[in-house]
Amino acid sequence: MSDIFSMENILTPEQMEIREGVQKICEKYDDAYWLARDTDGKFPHDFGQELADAGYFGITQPAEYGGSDLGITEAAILAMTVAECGGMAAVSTTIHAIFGPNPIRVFGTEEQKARWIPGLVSRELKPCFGVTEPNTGLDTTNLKTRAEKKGDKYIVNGQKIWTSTAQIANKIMLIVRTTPKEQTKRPVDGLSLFFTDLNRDHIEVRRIPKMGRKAVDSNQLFIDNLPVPEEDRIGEEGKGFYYLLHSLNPERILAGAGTVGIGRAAIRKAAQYAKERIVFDRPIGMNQAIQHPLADSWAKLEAASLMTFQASKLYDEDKPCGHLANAAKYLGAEAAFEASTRAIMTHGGMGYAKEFHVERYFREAMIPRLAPISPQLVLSYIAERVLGLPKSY
Amino acid sequence: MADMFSMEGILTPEQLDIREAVQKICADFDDAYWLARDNDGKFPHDFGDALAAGGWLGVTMPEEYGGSNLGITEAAVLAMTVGEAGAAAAISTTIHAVFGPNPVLRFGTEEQRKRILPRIISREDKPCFGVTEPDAGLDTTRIRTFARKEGDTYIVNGKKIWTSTAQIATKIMLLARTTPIEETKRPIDGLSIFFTDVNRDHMEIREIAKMGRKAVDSNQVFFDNMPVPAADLIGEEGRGFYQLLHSLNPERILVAAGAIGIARTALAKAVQYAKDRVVFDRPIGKNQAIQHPLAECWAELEAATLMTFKAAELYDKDLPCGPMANAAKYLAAEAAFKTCTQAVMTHGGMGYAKEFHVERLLREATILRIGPVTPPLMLSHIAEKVLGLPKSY
Repeated sequence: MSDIFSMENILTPEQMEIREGVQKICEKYDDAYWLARDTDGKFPHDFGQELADAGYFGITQPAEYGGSDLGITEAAILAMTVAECGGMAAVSTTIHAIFGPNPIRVFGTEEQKARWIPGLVSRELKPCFGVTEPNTGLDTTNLKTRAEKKGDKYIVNGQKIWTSTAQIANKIMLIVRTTPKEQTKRPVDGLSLFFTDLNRDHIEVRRIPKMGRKAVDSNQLFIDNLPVPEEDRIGEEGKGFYYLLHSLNPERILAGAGTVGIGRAAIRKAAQYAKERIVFDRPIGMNQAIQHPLADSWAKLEAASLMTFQASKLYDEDKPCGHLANAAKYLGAEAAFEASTRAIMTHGGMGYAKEFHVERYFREAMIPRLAPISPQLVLSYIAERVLGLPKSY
Repeated sequence: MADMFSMEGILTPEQLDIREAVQKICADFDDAYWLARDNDGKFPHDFGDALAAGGWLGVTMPEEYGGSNLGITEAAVLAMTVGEAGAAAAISTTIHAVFGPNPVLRFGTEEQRKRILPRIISREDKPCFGVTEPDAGLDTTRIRTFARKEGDTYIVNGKKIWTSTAQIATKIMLLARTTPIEETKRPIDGLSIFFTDVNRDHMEIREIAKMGRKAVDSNQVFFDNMPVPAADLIGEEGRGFYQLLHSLNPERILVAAGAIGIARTALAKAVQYAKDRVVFDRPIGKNQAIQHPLAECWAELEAATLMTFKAAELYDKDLPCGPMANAAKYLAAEAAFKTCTQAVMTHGGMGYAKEFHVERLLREATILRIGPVTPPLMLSHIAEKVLGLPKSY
């Protein structure tokens, strides 16, 4: 398996060790496990906890709080490797604990870091990420969830959607408006970021039945007069969007890494089937119509992998990485969707059977195409910020 | 939607009447019905019965057996309209009854036609098709299911796969070898067609869990010493493959029509969403990145529609239609998959939610790319038979 997508000249020996460590744990959670989770929809707690116990949830956290003090690059290795084993279900069991709370590491007070980071590392704290809203969609700064200051508390009202893991989470990273848009200079001002309890007395969590990744729930959240203590605010009131960027770019990098992983899983299966399936007296992989698309996908996935690690390198070096992070997510997601489609087609009829797993990868590969941002907005971003073309909307 | 896909320049007034009549029946089986069937997997018997009651299963059958004596063109109108209403589940509830008994009509005795056809048209008998086998795949002549003659009974042993509706079927159209392949001059000789009871004492039918179309079961079927009366042999023993060839082109035409139907409904949903969904202060459909792909899909679907009805016209006039029927199925299925994918993408996050139906349409459109024959084989057929290029495998 490691041969088709060997990362030996891409990762350092230390990084290769991290990959191998994750692979060892993943070996116990095989195809049958992930198929069962996709069927019964049970959250893969055992998988998540085993990774946490081995320290992987603290991969980017400071050593003083139990973390490994490594970068988003190492987190990307984790995301890619778990995806190769268990698709997006495996990715979403882990990355929300890393990118979501990342602003705590960067902007939190020492008191906040001491209060939260050990729990994030041990997985005692299970965070979800409340950003997207049903009405405003990708127009993030237009979000409507409102927090009113009342004494030393904020009272929050509003809605979120596509909040993964909210069924099992006990914390939420929440972005809300604290100053009405009309009173701010720019739309990115007046938002505030909170890391607070997922208080189910004031937050109704409704699961959304979806195309795939049944094991990791997605939800609508209805927030009704949720009291949030001031100590749960990260950084300054009104500057939340700036802090959130330290979730958003890592999210794109980790989603990009995950999507490369699922694409790899699909191509591995397709190549194996193409070798073994004999029709018209020869392996079907002997036909150019079968092998060339797989080779094309290999090339695109490798390119996306390099993009992902270039983006993570820039992030870890504190350099601007938005355009590359977005591009990596975009290229990875498009390549993975194409790869998983081709994997189904390579399997012929068996590609349609759940038993052969590739249809599950296809259903899951659709997520990173849509989330956390659609391809059209990635391309607009690049067109405006990199190519300098006028805003089109 | 009627405006988007007006068929007024393509169909005759009588054919448009057929379309309207079928639409009326389909109106009682809305999106909610098909979503419920996709969730609970219950066979849509009430839908099948409604179509049978309207006489639609006999659209191509002679009047003397209860049919309407119309052509594959009218059957294609039926398939497309049904596809628009409820996707592959709707199509597969009925389409097997429409074209499948074709060998009985062409090669059966009068006694067989009288015995078999009226009961299929009324839906008193529900036929399934046992042709494909797990080992032989698309190399049909290599099937190994064998019918051994013993007096006036054949004893059948072997296995079939992807036998749709076998859970609820009462009859099976079975392709089996009656002469071992070693004893024949050419591999296409020595195969025979039987139309016989689904005998569950000698047939083990195992449902295959699949990506979509849960309402209409696909199965593996194992035959264990199943006795088949000689009276159930259709046409000449050993000539079964030749007899089956007559069904292949109609099958491709009807699958193409169904694929177009599914895609049209997906496109209509995407267009409606693009009109309704307002983000960044404008309908998302105002953006070229949203509207142009939809327009492209429309053009490809219309082209595939014309191909399909051209192929149907040739078939009904008894003119050679093989390349056109293959090309129509190829183009329609590829366009349908692309359109359904684009429909999901247009819906953004909501495209991933079951509630919005487009993800279900995408899962169902995938079948039509794979079955009854994959793109590489259709392209090889065209390359060899039309372009005169040497066989590549």
